[in-house]
Amino acid sequence: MRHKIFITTLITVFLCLGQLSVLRAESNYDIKQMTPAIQAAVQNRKIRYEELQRFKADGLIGETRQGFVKALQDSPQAEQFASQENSDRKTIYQAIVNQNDLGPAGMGKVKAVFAEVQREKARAGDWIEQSSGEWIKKQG
Amino acid sequence: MKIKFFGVLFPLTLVLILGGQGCTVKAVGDPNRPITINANVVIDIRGLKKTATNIEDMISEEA
Repeated sequence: MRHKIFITTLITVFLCLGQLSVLRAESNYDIKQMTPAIQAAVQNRKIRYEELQRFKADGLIGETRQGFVKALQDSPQAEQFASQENSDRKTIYQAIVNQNDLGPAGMGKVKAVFAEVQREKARAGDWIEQSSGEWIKKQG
Repeated sequence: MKIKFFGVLFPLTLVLILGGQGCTVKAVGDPNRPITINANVVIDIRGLKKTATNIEDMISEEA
């Protein structure tokens, strides 16, 4: 009886340790397969990058807390630009979720993390939406 | 004691551990009404942030 309990406890402890190592190890998420659609989305964003910075500097576009951009003023040009940029971002986010099996809750996490990175990378004077939903002009 | 440990505590611990590791655990009983514990995928936010930073760096660097 005692022997059985000892063995069972030992197995449980090993399983618990395995669980802890899963939580502690830093996972490596990546775009594992560069499909033509993903490649096009990345390339489009590279081409669009400098113009996006100009839109941001002019206060026409801001970074949302959902990892997308938003036209902040009534400008059809900025709105169209934001729509194209968001479409490409969505392709990239979806690729990360699908290729890393992040599950149904994955998209929300991916968007939130990309939004955080965008806030960090934003230049002084750019409009950014805080995780609380408040829009602020980034300070230098 | 024996029944309580092997019949309740150990299966419960296994369900909790496997559930936490992202497995789907199905309780077998009435086949018409299976109890399903939803999969729980653990996402490492630090790893994800590293990936996001790398991608955004790549987009901004070569612009």
